[in-house]
Amino acid sequence: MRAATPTALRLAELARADHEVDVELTSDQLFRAHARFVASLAYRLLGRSDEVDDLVQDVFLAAQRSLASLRAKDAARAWLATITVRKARRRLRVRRLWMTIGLDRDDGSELAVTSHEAGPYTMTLIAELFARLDRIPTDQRIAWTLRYLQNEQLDVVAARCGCSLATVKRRIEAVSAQLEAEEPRR
Amino acid sequence: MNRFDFSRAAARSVDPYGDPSALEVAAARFARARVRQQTTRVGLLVTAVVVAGIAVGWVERSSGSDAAIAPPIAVLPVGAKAPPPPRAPAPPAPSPSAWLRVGGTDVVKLDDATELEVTRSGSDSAQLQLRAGGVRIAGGSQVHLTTGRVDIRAQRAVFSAQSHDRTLEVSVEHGTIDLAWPGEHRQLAAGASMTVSTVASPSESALPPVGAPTVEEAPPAEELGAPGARDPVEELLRAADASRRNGDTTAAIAQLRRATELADPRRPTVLFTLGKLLLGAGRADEAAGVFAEAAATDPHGLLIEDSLAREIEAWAAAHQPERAQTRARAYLARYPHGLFRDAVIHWSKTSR
Repeated sequence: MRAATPTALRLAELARADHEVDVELTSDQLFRAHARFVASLAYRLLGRSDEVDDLVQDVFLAAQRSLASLRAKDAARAWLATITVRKARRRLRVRRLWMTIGLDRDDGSELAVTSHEAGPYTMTLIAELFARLDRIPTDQRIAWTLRYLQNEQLDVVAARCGCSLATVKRRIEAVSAQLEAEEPRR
Repeated sequence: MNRFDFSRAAARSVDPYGDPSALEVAAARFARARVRQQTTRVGLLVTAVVVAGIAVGWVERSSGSDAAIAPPIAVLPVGAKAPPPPRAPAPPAPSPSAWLRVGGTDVVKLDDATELEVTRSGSDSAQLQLRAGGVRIAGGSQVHLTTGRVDIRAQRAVFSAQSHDRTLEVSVEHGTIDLAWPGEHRQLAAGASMTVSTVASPSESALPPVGAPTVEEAPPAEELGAPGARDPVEELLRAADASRRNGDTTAAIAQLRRATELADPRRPTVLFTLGKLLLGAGRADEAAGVFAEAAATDPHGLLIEDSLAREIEAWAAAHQPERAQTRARAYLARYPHGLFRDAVIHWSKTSR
């Protein structure tokens, strides 16, 4: 029988990956514990800060429906990451569709990156990077983002993308080759 | 670090919810979204229930159930009287001898003068003797109708037999009947009709030829029904028929009275016939007594309902309303949905 003491659960304990859990999580606790991680991942996947909030809300609303099936807290982060990748893939595909027919906005709003430390030059570099990633096929972009922006291991990337390790390697190499080819020569 | 590596590192350093206030705003937004999601779920559930209810109601209505088309129930205050339902005009009193059912066969009397005797009846067979008038017979059982020397046998057929002075007119509506008389046999199919003589031809008997007076000399009742006779009741009944056809109702009544004095299984039928003759002759008091005796003689017979109804008619005709009403109550108690219900109610009211 589960202990009905969710309020006794401390957020710091909740966020610890090695914490063994057998207590009931509330969706609010889950949000406060992992929202920052999910938001960072969402930003790296989408490259646009104004879409991050929407994706974070989508991820936690979806997680709330399946929260009862979550047995261990240490699996929460990986579980939320998988949901985030899946939902981001859908958004990126829609975005590419709009870009294909010329209806995707390109007004430089991504420059309004939420970063207190980043100056104008850094923000410009970030915007350039994501603008180049927007031209890359979605699955390849996700694999590369998870590997080089999220710093995930290849097997983890394969698990997040739902494909084999070889496929992930091939996708990452393809993106790297394209980005290097586009790198301006000094 | 080149430009590309620097941009990667910069992208990794971005933390959208690094500001605690941004996290609080997102948490509040998430709380509102949760409430909105739950409200939407409840709304969808309620909508589904309403749609299902409408669908069920529509299906019931389209299937024509009584509940769906039943008129609304009127709600009256306590003590209030509901308005009386509109009364349909009273139907005319039916003829009390309209028809009877015997052995699975429906027998309809075609005129008031019909005299029909049930000589035998079973669960699926009936043996009838037509003395006068006409009948229409319809049924699935085996029927054997005798009129004079003519025998009609039918099974699952509908036919009419109308007796005239010395002939019998038979017409078949459905099925096939076998028509037989001495020396002859015919089979009539649906749509066929035939007229046959009910008496022997001049060569076979001493009857006068066609066109001669048909007055039959009926012997006195005292001479009939003698102990030595072959079938005294049969002889008396034939004599009474002859007397009645000759217009001598008094003689017919006397002969039937003589027949009722003999111990015979046909006594209830004879009594009933006698009652009808007395009632027709205006002797309603006597008729009522005879009908009562007929009913008492065979309390489970085929003519019990007819006898009881005729008795009420006779008491009403004799201007004895109390007796008519008493017997009417007895009839309605025994036959609440009887054949003569309306007629009995009519007689019990008109006798006042």
